[in-house]
Amino acid sequence: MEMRLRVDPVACDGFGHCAELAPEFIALDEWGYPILSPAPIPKQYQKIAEMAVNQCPRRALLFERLETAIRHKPIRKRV
Amino acid sequence: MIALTSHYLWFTTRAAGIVTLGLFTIVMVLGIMTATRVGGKPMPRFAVAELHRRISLLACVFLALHIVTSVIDSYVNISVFSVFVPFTSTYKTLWVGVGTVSLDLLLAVIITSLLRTRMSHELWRVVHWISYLAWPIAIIHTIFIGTDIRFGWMDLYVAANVGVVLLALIWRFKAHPHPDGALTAVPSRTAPTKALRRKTSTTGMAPTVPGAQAQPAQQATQSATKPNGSPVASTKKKPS
Amino acid sequence: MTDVAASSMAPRLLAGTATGQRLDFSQHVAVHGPLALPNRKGTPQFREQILNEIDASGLTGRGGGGFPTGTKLRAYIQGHRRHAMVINVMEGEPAAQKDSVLACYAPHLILDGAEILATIVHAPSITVAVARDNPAAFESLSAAIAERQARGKRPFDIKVVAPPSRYVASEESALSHWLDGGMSLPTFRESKPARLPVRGRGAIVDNAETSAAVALIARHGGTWFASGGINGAAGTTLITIAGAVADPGVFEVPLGTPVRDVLALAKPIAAPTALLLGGYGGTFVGPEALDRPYSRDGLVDIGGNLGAGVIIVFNSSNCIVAEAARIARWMANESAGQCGPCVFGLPAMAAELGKLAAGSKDPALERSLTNHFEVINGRGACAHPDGVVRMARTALAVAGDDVASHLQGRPCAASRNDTILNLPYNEGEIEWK
Repeated sequence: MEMRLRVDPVACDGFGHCAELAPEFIALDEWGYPILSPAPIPKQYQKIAEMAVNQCPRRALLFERLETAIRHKPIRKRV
Repeated sequence: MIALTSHYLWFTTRAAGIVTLGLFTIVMVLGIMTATRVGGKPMPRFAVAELHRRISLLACVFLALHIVTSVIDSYVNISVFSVFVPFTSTYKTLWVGVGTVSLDLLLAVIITSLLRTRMSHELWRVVHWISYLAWPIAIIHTIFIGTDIRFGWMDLYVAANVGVVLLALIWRFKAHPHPDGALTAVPSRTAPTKALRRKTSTTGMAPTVPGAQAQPAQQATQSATKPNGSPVASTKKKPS
Repeated sequence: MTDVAASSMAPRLLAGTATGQRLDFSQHVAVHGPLALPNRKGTPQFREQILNEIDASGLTGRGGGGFPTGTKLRAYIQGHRRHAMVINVMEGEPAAQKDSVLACYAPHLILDGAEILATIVHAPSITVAVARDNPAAFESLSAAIAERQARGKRPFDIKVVAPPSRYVASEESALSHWLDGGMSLPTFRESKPARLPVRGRGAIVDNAETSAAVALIARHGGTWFASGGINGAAGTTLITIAGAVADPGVFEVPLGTPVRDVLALAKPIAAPTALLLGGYGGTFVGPEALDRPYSRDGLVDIGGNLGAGVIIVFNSSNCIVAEAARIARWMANESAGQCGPCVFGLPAMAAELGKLAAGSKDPALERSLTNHFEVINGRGACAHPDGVVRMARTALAVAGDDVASHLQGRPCAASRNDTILNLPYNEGEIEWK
């Protein structure tokens, strides 16, 4: 199941833990808010991505199922 | 023989209690550091948060030791019941009770935190604020239970604990005015209706104060010419 | 004066309003004819029939979304079981006045449309949202509801409400959030089309003009409505023309009318050098747009979109860069303050545009601005920052040579002129509830 990351920008308060944990596909803009790669998460980074989602202090980071995203129905996966 | 083991139990209770307090003080400071987004090269922010979590679990181990030894110790009469229900112990009812209150509050924080990803974030957050109550109550329990406070070094130790947390709090509210960012408008019927505070940037850049920026020409609030005869007002008015 | 484009088309939405007087219920019936809603048994056929007519009419959302109304309604019915109907007369865009004009002059058209839409979607109640700083529209609609009730027409529970009048408060998720008891701030929607919960029901939000158009389609049919357009476009629409014009106002025009002819209704003071289409979060286009038909298809390849039916006219005595800077500053103050890229990005962009407008030799300025466009776009919960980016980007594209001289520290003479924009004061305390 291909997943990618998505952030709830209202909940996000720019803690930046996600970008520290997964710099391969999460970068921070100049104000500390995440810029996410729209590509699906490669298998070897799945665990790191789950950790980033779990660790977010505001629970703003979400998983989005890729094929349903094309039909515009992301799922908030609780890890 | 029984008297000897009883002594060791009693010493363990006291020692574990002293260690527990120190560890929870560190947990409080780490929590404040997490909220203020302290962290960088040697210690990333997520590591500060993770340390906060792990040391709190370590502190729980010492707390468990402190409680269990005090229960099984026959030197003092504290039942399992009075561990969880405040002011029901026959030994130093009031101050053991205070400790129990602190424990109950702490249990709420710990349990919700263990279940954080399975519960509503808003609820978790509200409960987590209770730690600001649990910790001072634990301090009060330490001071007034009286066992070791008669020693001068204990005075210093408690003062150091209190001082460290107070300093961290002062630093939090002075150096970082709104560490939690703006009130997020999460659908909530109890959300306050005051004006939204602006978020603070994690890089320390404050958002530009509206109006403070020099504009090339005045920001004229010239009203648009209304459609002839239209009663549409272009100034803000309250509906009568 | 509300007016119609110089063509043989008689006014439709604005029919009967040429006298500048509000149409009360009997006048409304005299102008448009009566409207009978079906009884309970007749509803399913009526619903199918009306939906087909709406599809045939080519009606698209007139609130800025431009989404085909028939498709939206069908999707909504399929996706929800308990419905709530909301008519959006908020018109958060300060440059737009068409919804207010409809509300003040032809409120019964909006209400007819609301009742038809509520019948189609099986909503038991209708909420009409009017901005708090628009008491005229509020009173006109309240009076219209009272008139209908006095005549015993009471098929639905209709009420008018007044949310706070901030720019983003008219966005549909902010509106439904406020109706649901929260603050009038946009919410993060995980899926599209979004679910807009209002007191346990999923709401559908339709613009006032869309509703009025539905009222006409129900009476005269979809083909009739579509025939109002020319050059392949379907239907008529209301446009607010503002800026460097002698006769600004709200006009009803056939879609597809050449832009030049549309502008002629408002009598531009001088030859237009640029137009801002859609509103403050819209698109700047250059004079090449003047010969295009005013329709989505006619403007799409030069990047224009109709938005909330606003055209602001600029000529050579206006500095596009300076005006864009002012809009960006105003829009930055209108941020809901919920998302980092918007709260911090918009003021940063506004500051940079301000520097550019004042003339700057800073070599990094242009790159920094372009970088901000990339970084801010699409990273908020709503489309507010996207609109500002679009406005600024297109402004710089249209201003072209001007930008080059501004970047050499030589701002144009026009940049010292007063603004021609309506930018209400918004630097004070924010009211969100």
